[in-house]
Amino acid sequence: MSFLTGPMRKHVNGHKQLTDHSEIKFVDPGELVYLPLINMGSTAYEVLVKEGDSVKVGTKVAFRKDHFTVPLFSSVSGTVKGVQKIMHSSLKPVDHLVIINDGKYEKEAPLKPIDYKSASKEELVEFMMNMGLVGCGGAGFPTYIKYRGVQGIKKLIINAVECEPYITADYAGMKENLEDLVAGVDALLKTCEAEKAMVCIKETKQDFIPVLKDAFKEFKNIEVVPVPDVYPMGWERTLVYEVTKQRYEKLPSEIGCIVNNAATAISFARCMRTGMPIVEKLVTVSGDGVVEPCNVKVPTGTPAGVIIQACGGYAAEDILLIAGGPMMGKTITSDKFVIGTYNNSLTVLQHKPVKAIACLRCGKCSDHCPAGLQPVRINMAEKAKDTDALKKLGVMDCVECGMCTYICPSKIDVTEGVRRAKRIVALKK
Amino acid sequence: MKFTFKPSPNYRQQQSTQSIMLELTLGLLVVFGFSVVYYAMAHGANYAVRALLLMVVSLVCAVGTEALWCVALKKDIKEHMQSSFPWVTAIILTLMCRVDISYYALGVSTVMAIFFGKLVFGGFGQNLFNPAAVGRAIIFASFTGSVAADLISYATPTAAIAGHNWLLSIPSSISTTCAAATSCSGTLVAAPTLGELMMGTYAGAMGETSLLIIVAVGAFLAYRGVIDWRVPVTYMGTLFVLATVYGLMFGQPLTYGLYHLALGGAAFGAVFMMTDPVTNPTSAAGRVVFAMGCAILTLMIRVKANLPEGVLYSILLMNMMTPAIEKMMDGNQIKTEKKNWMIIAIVAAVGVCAAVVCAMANM
Repeated sequence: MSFLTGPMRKHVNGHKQLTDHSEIKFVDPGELVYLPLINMGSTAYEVLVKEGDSVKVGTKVAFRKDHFTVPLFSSVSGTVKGVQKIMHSSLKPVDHLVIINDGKYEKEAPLKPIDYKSASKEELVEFMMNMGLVGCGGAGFPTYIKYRGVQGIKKLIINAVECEPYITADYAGMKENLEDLVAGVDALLKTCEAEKAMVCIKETKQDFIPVLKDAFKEFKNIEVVPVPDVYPMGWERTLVYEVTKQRYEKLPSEIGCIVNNAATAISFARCMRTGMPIVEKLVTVSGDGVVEPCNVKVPTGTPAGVIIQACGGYAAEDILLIAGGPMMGKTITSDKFVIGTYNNSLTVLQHKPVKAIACLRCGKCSDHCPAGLQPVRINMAEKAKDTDALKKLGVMDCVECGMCTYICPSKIDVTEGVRRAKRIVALKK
Repeated sequence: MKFTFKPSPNYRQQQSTQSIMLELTLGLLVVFGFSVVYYAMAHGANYAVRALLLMVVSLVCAVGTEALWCVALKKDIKEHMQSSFPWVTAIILTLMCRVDISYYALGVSTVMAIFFGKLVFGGFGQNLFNPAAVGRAIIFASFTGSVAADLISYATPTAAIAGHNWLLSIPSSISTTCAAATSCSGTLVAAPTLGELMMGTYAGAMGETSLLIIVAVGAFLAYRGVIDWRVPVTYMGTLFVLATVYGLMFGQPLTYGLYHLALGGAAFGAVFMMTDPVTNPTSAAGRVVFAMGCAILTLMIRVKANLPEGVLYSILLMNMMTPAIEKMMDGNQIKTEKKNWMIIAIVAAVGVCAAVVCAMANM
């Protein structure tokens, strides 16, 4: 953010009031749940159960077996039906483990609870791995990788910003699990051996900031930091720059920072307390395309269609069903896909097509790009298929946050042009 | 039930190019409205009516040219107009003209501005040069003598000061020069004080005289996100500094720089023409260099070249430089920020040198 780079962010209307004070209701997945056998694009999973096996809530049913280890746990009790390929929220057809839900929700904790205060750092990292803790910010990066062998960390930044419009799942989750949040942050702080933790939340959450401050008041090294209500404040780079005024090349650990989502901290603490991994997710169902926007709690593997029917169904004939928020979430052309361990929202919008006109070169996309790129120039170079220019424009630094399309007054799909540009550069490598 | 696929994001802000152009149009009309009222109050209703008719002529010519273009190319006229905004060019061009210009000159130059300045480049968004500036340059080149016979011709303070290398202690010397010049005997001649220069109650191009109105409208448009505030601020700042450097070498008062901002088309050009997004660079850093370049050229043309005014040609020349500036400043703007500041520093140094050299050459 400077005279020469523009604001690099923008306040967007969050429509958070649709769901932020709604009651959280439990949605039963129905007869079948589908557990996606994918993590960060990798489908190298080994399934530990076979057809006809009976499972309980918490039974370890599969694990990712390549260079990362991510276990997968059953979210319902019942019988294994088999493996089926269905559309995943990443838009790819992926193998899912299908379990017949007996509706009893009998539990079996797969892990032994541990006390983080007496456990060693190595034990905590191992616990993270065994419980399958993944980043709940959306990418699903295994958390133990971040913490394994980290050194020289000064600040733990807890991301409770939730900058995507419509989503309030983290906010509702923090309110509901305040004790787990406090314990989780303290445990993460211990695991990364940082000097202090900063819990970052939007300054507009006026009702909740005092509650948070009060919850952390006994911790001298944990600070609640209100940050501006702008998009994409929750992006790692934007958030780290906001609280440290420093930039990094690849990973925040270069400047002594580690960033985790608040929901990750909560899941971590809950699992340490109960031995139960993530088998349930808090999901925001919102937008003008659903009859009753609200926050729901669902077992992982619940199909989107089931959740939306529980929220009163669709409010229009032609809709955009988005896994995630409207800025970065993908539209999916079927509501058969399921909620995985790192999904936290479904946005349902009425489809209202807009007509694009010629680019007026206003430069608003360049001014607001949080990565400091020039989407308008990238789009021009993409049209000309000029790979050298695209490389010079640093197109691979783009994270597809969607700001350029959001801001474009000519209603051009700028982000999509940048995506095409990234593919051109990736192919030429 | 239909699930539509659309690549993300599926969320957009309210502001549209149409709303930007509408607000810009309203801003320009405020400037024009002030001008009409001024002429009505100071010189009588026939001047005000003439100003209004000039605007109508230009608007009709601009919209008519684009309509004919649509007919020739079998395009939908309504759809084309909604994404082409010919009236903006017409209004800016009219505001850059004096009230005594002939209808014929304004009409012809509007047609040429729209056709050669915009449509042949591919229409809105594609033109290299500011169309209104193209139109004004055509008037400069071809129609300077084409003025209304029934209005008393007059010399503007800008022309008067330009006749002396932009070097006159103002206001007293403007009035002396004007009194000495034969063309100053008309009714419109007044010696503007600094206050009058701010208000714009003196002879000049219709929309260019009132610094206060232009700055107020510009500030509002910048606040609304219609224009980029960096361009007028950088331009006016650079021009003020360079003019002060130039002025100090001749022992002019410290307020000398303000006359450079107030007289001629400096403020109007800075707010309404250099900010034309189509013809300036897209990056913030590029725009800063663009505005500085305009300021340097404005000063050089004013004090050294054979023209009374430099704003117009400085804009056209820098429009030509826009692609080069864009290319020079391409890249991740966070990583190139230091380099961009270096470029700006070099341009600033060149500007100061130019001001000093011009002053020495005029001594």
